[in-house]
This record gives sequence, C-alpha cells and structure tokens, in this order.
Amino acid sequence: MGSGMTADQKTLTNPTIGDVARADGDVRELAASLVDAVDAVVAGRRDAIRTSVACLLAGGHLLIEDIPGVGKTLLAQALAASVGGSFHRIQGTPDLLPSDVVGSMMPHGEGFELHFRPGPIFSNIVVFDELNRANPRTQSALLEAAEESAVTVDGVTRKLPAPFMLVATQNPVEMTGTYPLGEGAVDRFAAVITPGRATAADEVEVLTGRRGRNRLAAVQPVASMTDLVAARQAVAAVHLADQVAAYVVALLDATRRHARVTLGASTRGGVALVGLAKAHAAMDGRSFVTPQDVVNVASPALSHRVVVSGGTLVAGREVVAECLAHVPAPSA
Amino acid sequence: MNERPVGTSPGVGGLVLAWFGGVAVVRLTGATPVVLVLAAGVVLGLAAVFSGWWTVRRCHIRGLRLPATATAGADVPVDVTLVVPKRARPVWLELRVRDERIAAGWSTGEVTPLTARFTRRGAVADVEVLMRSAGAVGALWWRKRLTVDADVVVAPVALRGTVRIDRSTGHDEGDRLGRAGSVSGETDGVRPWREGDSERSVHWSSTLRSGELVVHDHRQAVDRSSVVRATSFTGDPDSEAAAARWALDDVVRSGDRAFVAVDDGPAVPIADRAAVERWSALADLGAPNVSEPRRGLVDRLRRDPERVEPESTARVAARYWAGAATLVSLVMLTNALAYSSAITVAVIVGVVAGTVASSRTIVTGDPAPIWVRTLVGLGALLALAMVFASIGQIDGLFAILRGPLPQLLLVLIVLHGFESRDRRTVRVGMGISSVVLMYASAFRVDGTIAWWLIVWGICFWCSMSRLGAPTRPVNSPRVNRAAGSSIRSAAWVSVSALAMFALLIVVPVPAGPARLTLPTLITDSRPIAAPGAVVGPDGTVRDAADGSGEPSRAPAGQPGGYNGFADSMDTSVRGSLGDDVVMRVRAPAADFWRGQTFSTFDGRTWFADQETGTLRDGPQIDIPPAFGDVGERFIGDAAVDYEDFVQTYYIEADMPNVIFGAYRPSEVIVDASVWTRADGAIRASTVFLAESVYTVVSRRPIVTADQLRQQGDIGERLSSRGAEAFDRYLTVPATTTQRTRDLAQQLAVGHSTTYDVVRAYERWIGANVEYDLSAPLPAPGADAVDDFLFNTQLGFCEQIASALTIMLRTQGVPARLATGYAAGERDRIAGVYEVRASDAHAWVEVWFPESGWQAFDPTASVPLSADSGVSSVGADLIAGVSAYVSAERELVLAVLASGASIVVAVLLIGELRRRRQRGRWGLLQDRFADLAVRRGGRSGAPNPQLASVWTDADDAAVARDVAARLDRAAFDPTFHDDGSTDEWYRTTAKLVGSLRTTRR
Repeated sequence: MGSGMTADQKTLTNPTIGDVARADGDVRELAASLVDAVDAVVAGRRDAIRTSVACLLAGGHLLIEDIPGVGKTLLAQALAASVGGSFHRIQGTPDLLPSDVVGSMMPHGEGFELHFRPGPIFSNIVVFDELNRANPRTQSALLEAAEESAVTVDGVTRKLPAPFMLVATQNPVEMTGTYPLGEGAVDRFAAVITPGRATAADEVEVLTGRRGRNRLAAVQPVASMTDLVAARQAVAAVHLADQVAAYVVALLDATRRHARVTLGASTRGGVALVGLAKAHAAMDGRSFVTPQDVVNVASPALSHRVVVSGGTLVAGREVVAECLAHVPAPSA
Repeated sequence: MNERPVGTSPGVGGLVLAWFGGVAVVRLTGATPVVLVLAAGVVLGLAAVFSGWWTVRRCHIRGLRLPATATAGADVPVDVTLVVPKRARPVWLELRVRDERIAAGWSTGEVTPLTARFTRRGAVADVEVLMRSAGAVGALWWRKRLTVDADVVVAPVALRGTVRIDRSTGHDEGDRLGRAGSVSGETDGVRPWREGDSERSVHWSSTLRSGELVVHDHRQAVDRSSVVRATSFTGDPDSEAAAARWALDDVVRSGDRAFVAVDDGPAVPIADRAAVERWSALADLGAPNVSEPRRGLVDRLRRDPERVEPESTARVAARYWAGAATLVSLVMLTNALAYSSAITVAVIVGVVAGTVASSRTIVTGDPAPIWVRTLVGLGALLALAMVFASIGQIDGLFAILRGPLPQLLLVLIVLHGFESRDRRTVRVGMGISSVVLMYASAFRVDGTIAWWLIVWGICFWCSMSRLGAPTRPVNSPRVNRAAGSSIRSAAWVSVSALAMFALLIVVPVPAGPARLTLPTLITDSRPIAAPGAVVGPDGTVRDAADGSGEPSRAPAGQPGGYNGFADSMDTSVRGSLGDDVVMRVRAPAADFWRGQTFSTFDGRTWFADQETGTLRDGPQIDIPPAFGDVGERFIGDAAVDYEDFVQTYYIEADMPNVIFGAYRPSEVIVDASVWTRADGAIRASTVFLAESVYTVVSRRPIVTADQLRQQGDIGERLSSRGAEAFDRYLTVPATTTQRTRDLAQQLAVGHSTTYDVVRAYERWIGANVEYDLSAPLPAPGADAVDDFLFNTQLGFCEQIASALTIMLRTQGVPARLATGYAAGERDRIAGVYEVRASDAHAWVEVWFPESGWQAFDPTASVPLSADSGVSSVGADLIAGVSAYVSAERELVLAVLASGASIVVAVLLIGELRRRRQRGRWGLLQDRFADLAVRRGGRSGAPNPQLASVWTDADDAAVARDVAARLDRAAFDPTFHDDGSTDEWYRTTAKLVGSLRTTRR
C-alpha cells in the first residue's frame, strides 16, 4: 500500500461520526475567521493567536507577557477588534485607583444624588496595558472583578457585561517601579502567552505596512456577541473523557512533585487547562478532548502557575515540558 | 575502571563457610552429589561477582537536578536522572557531599526522585553520586562513584539571635521620602494574602466575604532601610549566619530595603529572600572555634558502621523460599539417617511454623509473640534433653554422625527458623540448609537424590534472588514486559548450566572418603555360630558339601543368598536371585566386588580352603596381603603401581557375613571382627543386615594389557618351588577329559604369553558358548566342564569361569574361581553403583608373577584397572543424563512436550486476555504506537505527536488520519464500538497496515 493509498480511502468516514463532528463545525469556522482576522494585523505567531482565541472561547482571561515592542498590545487590540462588542483599554500606572477601573459613585443631577458611574471595566473586552505598573490595590480590584464578572461598589453588586474577557499585558524586563503580580493574582489568568519576536519575513510585512498597527483600523468584527456566547456554550459542551481528565490530574501531580518546583499547579490551573483544551478541541471541529489538545495548551495554561524557586516563566515552561515528556498520554 | 566491589551482604559469609563445609563433606565421604552442589556454588559465586558489576556498569548518571538553594537540615527534593537499560535492576543511589550522605534510595527507572538533606552551611560545588548494586544474586556489592558538578548554596536554618540592626529612613536632600500625606504604618485598604504576610494582618471580614485570605495593606515609608550587622569570628559562624538570616528575613518581610554587613564593613543590598539565603549560606564569618574531638585508638580502629547492604529486612517471599529450602534439606536428612516418620513430621511442622511465625513478624515488624517464644524455648529444652538422653547409646563414629550430631543440628535449625527475619539470618539459615543438604546427600545413596537436589536448588535460588531485591516496592509505572526478557533469563540459566558443566568436566570423581571418618555401621549384630565360616543372612552355615551331596538351591526370595557365598559351590546350580538392589557401593570406578575365592574343584563343585584365617578386631582393620598378592613373599612391592581405591558398601538387603572388596583389600573399616584368610577372602563375625555400612580400602594394582603381556608365559616362569606353592591352583580334577585338555592346548598354540592365551580362551568361549541361566544340569557323575564345553554349550558365569579356570590349569597357569558381584549400574548423580541380586557373579583370577591375581571374565566386561580411569563428575553426569534420556525417551519427550505446551498455553492465555482487555481499537492503537516508537517516536506521547514521526508527505497524511481516528475511537463519547463501526475499523486497520516502519 504505502503511498499507493487512494484519496477516497483516506477521506472515507463513518457517517454517524461525521454527523456528530459537524455540530462543532460552527466553532471551527468562527475560530478560523478570528485567527485570520488577528493574523492580518499581528504578523506571524499563529500559535499565540490560536491560544488567545482559545482563551476567548474558553471564557478565560489572558495575560500577554513579553519584552516591549513585539506587539503585545497590538495582539490584544486586534483580538478585541475582531470581536464585535464594547471594548476599553486601560493603561496601568501607579496612581491608577480601583475606582478608576471599576467605576465610582458620583454626584449627579439636580439633587447631586450619588449615581454609579461605571468604569472602563464595563465592556466586553478590556485590554489592560502594563498590568504590573498598576498598584496592587488596583490590580486586585481588577482581577477580583474579572474573576467574578461583577463589581461591588457602595454595597451594590453590578454584573459586568457578558461575554467578558480581560486581556492584560505586562513587561517582565523593566521591573523598577512595578508591582509584580503575586501568585494568587497570576493564577486568575487562564493562560499566559509570550508571542516572541516575529520572523524576518513577518517583520518585512510589518515594515512595509502590509501588516501591523496601521491595519488595525481595517479589522472588521467577524463574530457578534451572540456568536461568541453560542461558541462558548459549544466549547463548554465539549466532552472530556475520564482518561483525559486523569491525564490532566497526572500532569498537575507531576508539576507538584517536580524537584525544582516549590509550589505546583493548582486545581484552578487544571480547570483552566481543561477549558483551554476544550476550546482547542472545538477549534479543531471536534466534540471531544484528546490528549493532544491537553499537550498543546498545557504550557500556556500551567507555566505561570508553577512556582520555580528563583525561576521565571521560562523555567515554568521547562518544568511543564518535562512533565509532559514524563507523563504517558492515555490512548485507546 | 570506575566500578569496584565494596563488600558482601550480611550473611554471605555463612554461605561461603557452608561451601567449605561442603568441601569437608566431600573429603570425608567422597559423595558425588556434594560435588554437584559445590560446583553450582562456584557458578553462583561467579554469578554473584559478575551480576553486580554488570548492573552497575550499565548505569550511568545523566544528570542531577538540585535546588539552587537549600536550608541545612531541611528536606529538599532532588532528581537523579540515569541512563538505564530497559528493565534493568534498580541500583542503590547515594548522594554525598564532603563524605556526608545527603540522600539515598533505590533508583526508579530513568528519573529517581530523592529527598536530600544538606547538613552543612556553605556552597556545594560538586556532589558525589554513588551507585551500588549486588545484581540478581544479591551477595557481592559493587559500587560506581561519580562526581557531578553542582551549584547549590546551603543556608543555615534561620534562628532568632542577637544581631545588631541599624534602621534608617532614607533622605533625599533633606526631604523625607514617601507618599504625600501618608503616615508610616497606617492601614491602607486590603489586598490578597502573599507569602510572608503575618497572620496578624489578616482582614477577617474581607477574608470571610471573599473566601480567600485578605490582609491589611500597610502604608509605609517608601525608603526605609535596615542594615543587619553580623559579627565575624564569634567562634560559631553557623549560628551567627543563622541569626543574621533570621534578622534579614524579618527585614525583607517588613518591606524595608535590606542591607547586610559583616562587622563594620560595607553594607551589601539584599533584594529578596532568595538573596538572604544566598548571603547567609556564603557569608565568611570566620573559622569555627571547635576542635575535632579526639578519637581514641578504639574509635579509629572501629570501622565506619555503615552497612554495605542498604536494607536489612528480608522480603516475605524470600523467607518462604528459604523455609522451603530448609524443609527440603531437613526431610532429606531425616530420610538419609532413617529417622522415624514421627521425627520427619515434627521437623516439617517445626519448619513450617517457624517460617510462618517469622514471616508474620516481618510483615508486622513486631518481635515474635510471647507464646511462640515460650513454645520455642520449651521445644528446645525438650529436644536437647532427648538428644542428651540418647548420647549414652552411641558407639562408633558413624553412629555419632548419624545420631546426636544431626539431631542437635535439626533442633537448632528448626529453632533458628523462628528467629530468622532479617537478611543476615535468612542467608545464614540457607547456608546451614546447604550444609545439611550436602551432609544428607553424602549419606543418601538412593536414586531420587537428583530430584531432591533440583527442588532444593530452585528454592535456594528463588530465596537468594528475592533477598537481594529492594524490599520497598519500586513505584515506577508498570510497563509491559519487554519482549525477549524471558528469552534473556533462559539464556542466563543456560549459560550458568554450561558453566557448571564446564567446571564439572574438570572435577574428577572424588576418590573416596578421607581416612578420618570411614563410615561403618552395623544395624544389628548377629553373631555367627561357626568361627570363620560363611553364614547366610538367616544365620545358618552355608556349605553345599556338608550333607547328602544334593544340590542346594539358594533360598528363594533371599536376594543375598547367592550360592557362591559358601565354603563350597556347586557349579551346576544357580538360584533364582531376582532383581532387588542388594547394596549400593560408593566408589570412583567400576570393579568386581569380590567376596570369595575357590581353589579346589572336583569336576562339579568348587571348595574353598578350609583354614579359617586370623581373627582381627575392628573397627579399623589392616588386611595383610594374602597368598600371591602384591607385597606377599612372591612379589616385590615395587613391581607394580597401585592406587588407593575406597569403596563404601551400603547394604540394602540382608547379606551373609562376607566382606566384599575390589582386589586387593588392604584395610577394612567395619564395626565387627573379621577373619582374614589366606585365600584373600574376608569374613566378618556378624552377618550384614539391611542398612549396615562398611568401608573397604583397596590397594588396586594399576595394570595394563601390555604389562600383563610382558610377564610372558607364567607356566614356564614358575619355578619348581613356585609350582609347588601354587599346587592348589594348578590341580586339575581327575574327571577332566582329554578333549578339554586338547582344546586348551590347541587354543594356546601360537600365543607366547599367558595374557594372550587367556584372551584366546575368552574369545573361543564367547564365540561358541551361549549364556543361558536355564542350562540343563549335567548328568550325575559327569564332568561339568566337559559337559558344558562339548555337550550343551549353554551355561552361566559359574560354568564359564570354571571351564576357563580348568583350561588354564591344564596349561600350568595358576588360576582360581572368584565369586562376588559385578559392579552394577552406576547412579550418576548419587555417584554410587547399584548392585542387584542378579549381579552376583563368578569369574576367573589368574596369578601373574609381577602384579598378583588378575581377574578375567568372558561374560561381564569389566575393564582393566588402568583402563577404568577415574572420570570427571561432569562426564559422568552427562553420560548419566544421556543414558536416562535414551532409556526414558518417551517420558522425557512427554515431560518436555507438556512443559512446552504449558508455557505456550500460558503465553496464549495471557495474549488472549490482553486482546480482550485492549479491545480491537486498543490493539490497533498498540500497533500504531509501536510503529511510531520504532521510527523514533517517544512512547507515551499523544497520537498526533506520534504521527509526526512520518515525514514523508503521503505517510504523514495517513498517520495523521490514523491518529485522529484512534483518538476519536478512544475519547469521543458518541463513538460506540458496535457493528456500525466495522467498516470504519477496517479502513483504519488498512491505513495502519500501510504505514512504513523503516525510514526511506
């Protein structure tokens, strides 16, 4: 047989199974158009783009951590722009107060009654630049609001719009005058991605203006909020087999037992990993999670959650990679 | 070479001693089975040396993952990564820093997680990794030492102490820094808990509301700094560093800018707690003020008490196997010493109870319960009392060897079983068991000994190999048994077996017991009525010529009742003797076991000399040369070479008082008195009942055919004086016919030497006479020799030998008739000759002037002494096994076939079970994963990753498709493996089949 395999044999599928697979085709198309839209602006880094889209579909928050000038903010903005819906961008500074983010009670009108004036967090997608430059109070207010999708001001709880996604960026290099996020804060992000530098070809694209910031204005929303909500529901319905769940648990356990790790990945990390893996599966048009989905999203989902003594995110990635290499994946 | 032996496991000395004990047993008894055990012991020793070396040699350190910082005295995780072959034995890993052990444990596959504890503050630049293993045998430990670069700083444990701290608030051009309006220390909202926050700052109401720890956030001066000043040369730098660490940790936790200085030296900024650790680990605070404690001579002589074998507790399985080995050896002993079955049962119960009791204490870890110990103590006292009570009845060395000594041994072994729970005692117990085994097999002469040895060997090996393995379960993930591992172990077993055979080929059959303890045992002394006469087993004097002249047939059903053992023998009679084993003879080579000689013949009946000989008292009796022997007056001592030839006779059926021995007995060890007769026969003062034992040492002349031939024509060489002395052996009865003389004369023509004449006679008899046990009786009064040679030409050994003797006498050659037993069949394992009643035999002895009496026999082919050289144990064993195989071809084939079919069935059932468990998709998955791994994929990787090993575009597409299909089958909840998926399965199987294994 070998290369003599004919095309029709390869595409022959079980009709029953084909029908099931088609139900998730919508998510796949949606995800593909989102990735394409972002990719039109951000040159290259398709993996990072896919992860950020997966994060969006999984309903998690995203932290983009990289050196300045590689397009962190651009990626966040492009992602926001490709989704219809409200969008705000906040720049993190030390004097930014929680009320500047979540909103505050302001005297208003004839009787100067106190009315709630919503902060920029009241939008579908919030891009928070330089998260580590905001002071810890603001950081925790923001993250608490993002975690609970609600803001409590003056005793009244106000729901954030749904869907809601926080995309934060931070620069790990210049640390002076920053407030590094604590472990608890970082844990709230479903994924941390490091887009890295573009390839030479992609840089040419940026410099010639075929891609990059000036294309941002041209981005049209490819998904409505309704689409997004439907897609999130489809992602949540993706099936996770028990063996794959056990595999995730084994991975978490491996990070906890790893010699260099002082604090392993939390259960919340496992939940985030499963969510991302489900999104990844749906983006591939599947209604079930395979171990490969887990492997693909393990590094962005877990690297920031393992605390390596004296280490950084890079060390966390190494640890996760080693754990992946040592834990055997389940199969039929 | 990196590998070197470091020592033996505890208790191995016992096994080595046991081996030397076995050598002593061989020297004392000359038992071949002991040689087999000893050879197996040598092979085991070689395996013990090689196996540990091989295990250690194949392991290499790939890396060591250590934390960057550690705290002295605190546990830190360490990973040791090894390069180990698949299914290699675990090795004992030890990490050392400056000769102090920081971590140790059994390796678990490639990565071994260990828990390390650094003991001393400071920087660690290299770590010594020691790998130790004793291999499969678990006796000799080998070690490999490697030094791995490390970069670890070991900080002291933070301890509150008195350290000066200079606090200052930073000023910038005279203005106090800080946030406008802030008051230092004032509460400023809340924030989530972070590591290092005090529990006092928890904001409980927020914590309760949010469900996670929330603390007060304190506003503080932006730039407050503290300088911790450590003191150098306090004499205890570690404590000072520990105190400095405490202070620095406190400062860093409070959020101040931290600095540290030694005495009044420059202040070094400390960024975080990691920096605190580094500084406190590396700070040079002067030399410690402690002097090395003086070590006395005794201390210096005392060795490092570190154990060679890391674990001392035995595994329960090893204990059970050891118990089985002990049981086998003890039952062998009680059988060999013919103890009553009550004792055997008691021993079995004792060993089983001891094994169970000690295994239980291994499991629970408690000492044996009090009632067990009480019972053991009482049993010990009782048994010892019984042994002491029986000592009074002992007479003779053999009786001691059979009596109280082994009884004491039995008691001690059974009691030892209750206490053996650690590896040392189990090994020592097995050493004792092997001594018992060898002791028992030295006394056992029956045919089942091979099976006992095999069973014991299996128990012994299982126990040894399980003792050497780690006690704790190695928690590596279960992997499928690599294909070929059983082939490999089979190969090892064959190599060991070959090595053992090779060793045995060069080990000669033991020549016989040393003179120290030649065994003898008379079970029941039954004195004989007539001094010097031959007495049958029933106690009656056997003499055919005493009464009416009627031929007296041997008593039916009495195996030892051969009519050759009497003062006269009617050649026309041969009783029906049966096939029972009458005795077993331990001897290095085959020979005639001679009992009687007859000199006078009346044409029909042979008569022995009438003189009774000299009475000599046992148990150790020197036998002087008899008439015509080497060393007697006719022959000088130097005329011929001779060898000492030791035979021990184990009587199995009641026998007459004849003492048998190969020509020429020089020493008899028997618990009785004997008459040594001039005709060379020896008669004891008692009959030998079953289970009697005596030993004969013979000075066997080493003669070759050439030597005999060189002695020429004896008839011519006999001087007239000699002829007179040998008159008895030259007398031809009056009834001898002329045609007999003519035949003798005619056959002797052309042969110049007596040897050739004898050979010619033998050839003629061989060609013209048929051996027939039911030959017709000669007519009354007729000459039996004539009748046999010319009328019937049918006969048995007595008639053949008589004919040959008379023919030789007609030619003037001194000859006589000897009776006794032919050598019998050799039991190759036990190393004894099984002599049956039907082996009773008569042959001719011809006198040669230089080598004495020489046996000739036309019917039984017993080689000349020089030709029957002592063979090696191995050759003997191979001959025995091949003889057994050719004799029992059907049985061997059946056993082999059934064994093979059992193995095949087990494999088949296992495979079927695997197939059922895995299901068809699981099997397909295995095939796919196997293909991918063979192309370099990582086993355990997810399917799409495995698929990526196919780089060729077509193959890659197929592989990706297969991976997707397999994943769907495994994880898709809507996928049900029923009839509807058959077509899909077939397609997938076809796709898997189309994938190429090898790279193009």
